[in-house]
Amino acid sequence: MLELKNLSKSYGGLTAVKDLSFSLNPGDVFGFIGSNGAGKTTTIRMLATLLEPTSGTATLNGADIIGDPMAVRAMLGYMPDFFGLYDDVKVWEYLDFFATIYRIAPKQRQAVISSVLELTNLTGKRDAFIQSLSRGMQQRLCLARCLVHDPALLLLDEPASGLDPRARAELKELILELGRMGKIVIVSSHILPELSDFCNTVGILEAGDLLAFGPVSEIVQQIRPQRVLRIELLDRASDALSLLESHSPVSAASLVDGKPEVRVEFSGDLEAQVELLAMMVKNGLPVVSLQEEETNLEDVFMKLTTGAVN
Amino acid sequence: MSAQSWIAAQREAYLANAAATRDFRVQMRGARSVLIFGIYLGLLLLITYFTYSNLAGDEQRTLMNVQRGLQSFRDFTTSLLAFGVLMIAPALAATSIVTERQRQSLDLVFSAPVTPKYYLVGKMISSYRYIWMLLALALPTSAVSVVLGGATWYDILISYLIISMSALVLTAFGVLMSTLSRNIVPAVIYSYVFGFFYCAFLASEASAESAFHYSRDQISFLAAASPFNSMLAARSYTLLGSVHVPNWIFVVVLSLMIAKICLSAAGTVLMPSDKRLVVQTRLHGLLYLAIGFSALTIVDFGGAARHATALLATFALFVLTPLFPFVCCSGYGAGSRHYRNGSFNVLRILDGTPAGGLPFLLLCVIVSYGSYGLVKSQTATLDPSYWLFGLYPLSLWFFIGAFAQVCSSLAGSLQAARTSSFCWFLILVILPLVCLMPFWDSFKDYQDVILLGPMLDFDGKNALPLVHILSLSCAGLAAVLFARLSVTSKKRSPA
Ligand SMILES: Nc1ncnc2c1ncn2[C@@H]1O[C@H](COP(=O)(O)OP(=O)(O)O)[C@@H](O)[C@H]1O
Ligand SMILES: [Mg+2]
Repeated sequence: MLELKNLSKSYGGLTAVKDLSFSLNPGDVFGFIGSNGAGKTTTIRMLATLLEPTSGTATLNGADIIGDPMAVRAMLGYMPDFFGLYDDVKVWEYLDFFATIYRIAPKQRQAVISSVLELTNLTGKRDAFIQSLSRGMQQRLCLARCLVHDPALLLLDEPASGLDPRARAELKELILELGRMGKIVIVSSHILPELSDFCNTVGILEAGDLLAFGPVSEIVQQIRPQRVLRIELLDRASDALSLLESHSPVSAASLVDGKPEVRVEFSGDLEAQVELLAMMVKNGLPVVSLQEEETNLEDVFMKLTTGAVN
Repeated sequence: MSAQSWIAAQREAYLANAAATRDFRVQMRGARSVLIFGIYLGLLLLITYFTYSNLAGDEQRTLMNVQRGLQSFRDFTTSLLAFGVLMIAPALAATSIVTERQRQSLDLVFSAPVTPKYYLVGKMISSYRYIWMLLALALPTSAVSVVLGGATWYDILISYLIISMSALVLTAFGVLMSTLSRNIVPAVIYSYVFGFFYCAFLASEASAESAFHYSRDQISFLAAASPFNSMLAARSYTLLGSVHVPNWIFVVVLSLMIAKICLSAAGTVLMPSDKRLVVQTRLHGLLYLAIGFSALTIVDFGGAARHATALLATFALFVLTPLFPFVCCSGYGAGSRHYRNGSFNVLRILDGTPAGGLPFLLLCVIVSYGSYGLVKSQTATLDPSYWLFGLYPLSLWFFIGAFAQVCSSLAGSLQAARTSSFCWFLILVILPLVCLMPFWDSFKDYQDVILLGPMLDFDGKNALPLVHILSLSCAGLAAVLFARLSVTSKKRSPA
């Protein structure tokens, strides 16, 4: 279990991270979202024991990042937003190096290397030089490096940046697999759709403040207690609009340009939604369909962060 | 830590070091290493051949001439070897960490359970092993001396050991500079500058001693440490009571101490959050200063006692010059440990924060000067002026440390503070000496005007440099106050 307790960092006068407190459990895939300069890297580096917090601390399975950094390091894998790969080194040598510094017994090293290569789908590249790998493969090699010691916590800083869609999809699969293996995975990104479909928890960071934290659906609720319904009609859209505007759980309604369709911001629950539909049918409106508009994280993020700036 | 786990940790660090293994694989990869070693070997053989044929072509072949020729051939080839190795060592070491920093691979390593010591030792091994490979390749050329007479295998091996010890010191310092720098070029330059001064210092000691020693077996261990003197030094010894201790033992101990302290210091840079590391490094530093300066009592400086005190102050200068910008400067830029937290706080003397810098610097002077005096007074009567003369290096370093505080209060960042204080140190303290040296005879009477004047008092006037002590102390005090005021006024200003 990872627990952050009032973790803060300031550089001179600038506070990069303010009082972060949250906890994550094994199996959590946590999306850490924030625009550039929000403080994601700073937070991740503090968790990786590379940066000393100005105040506050964090514990991983009971080990404190300040009090016992070596114990924490033994349990975490950190993948920075750069590769830090060596030239002139072969894939297996690179992994062998990390297996050694993570104190894997010499006898087990080859087996460990084989298994992480297999997990990251790089088995065929075992004897290739690192500089000959594609970007996607290098990214996976970095991930393989983080996995040699079977860490409890994975810190992935912007892992998807610069990858093509295919490599991105593969990475996503891999991260999901790691979550299923019972690891805590923290994935940061400034692009939301990247994370929304596979993280079970997200946190939104803006200028060092954690604006929202929780399961994706909960956050969406929290930000937008109103759901948006789209009601498609055969015709008489303007009649429907005037009827809906007078209905109480509807806070706003508008016509969709060029179509016989009404967009409704609705604060009621599902029963109220059934009532709304019944009422429309009773009034003889030709309702074709009623659909809830998907709310994605991007909208939530935009709304949150612009709110913070204003 | 139990003895067993300690041994396991040492074995891991020195014998099975992952960083060293990885670097070795890269160093030995493909045709490149073969090419480098081939060229190196070819050059060595070529030079050996030409020097030898020059010597052999000598017309008057008396036995004396031949012997002298063989000896000078032997000295020439080992000096050449020393030169070659010492040209390579700083370059290898100085690039070791800084290239990793630029590639940003250090973060990967230090997010693993790796101590800075482990990694630095690995880097040391990588560079140092290369040096030994070069030395081993040169064995055939040195073997010529053994076969033709003029040297034994013992001489050759010991002289290689001595050369490699200089290389070890230069490598360790290169690694330290490499951890401190963000770019390759300054790291390489600083390493070469240090290497130059280190070798020049030892060589000058060696040549000074050859002026007043009759037997070359009895040169001091300082002279024996000079890499360009290694053949001569191989058989030299020091008399401790009635025991003949070979000088190379001193050389090895001295070099290991310097290397160790350089690596410890580099460790505190790599892992600034580990407070214990700083304390350990400082305590070790003080201990080594005490040992080193006690050992200096064995060295016969060949002059009046007064002369020895002047020399001692010079040694302190050598040790503390590279140290003070890192100890005394404060500023933003390299972690909160270096933020200004006062001007003079004895309680902070070991924790590496700026307030403890000045007291630590003074403690270094006291320890080095004091340990020499204490040990010396056991065996000989000290010149009574010795202890009073110690006030001079104290006031000098008080001034230099205080001046570093002024530079820190004016500079924008820690880096700028260190650079500017070191530059001003060169301008105020070193440059006048260098400029006036050529006109030594005519300026002797005015030597009081330069800060290092009292150190040059080789004539044994025995006068306490009161003017220097008073003016340096006052200037130091003024500098501390100025730094303090300018910081408070900065805080008050709206920016
Ligand atoms: N070493 C540093 N010194 C001063 N400011 C820094 C340093 N590193 C990061 N910052 C500042 O901290 C803030 C957060 O940076 P970062 O954590 O890198 O953001 P992110 O990874 O979310 O893009 C930024 O405003 C950045 O300028
Ligand atoms: Mg970042």
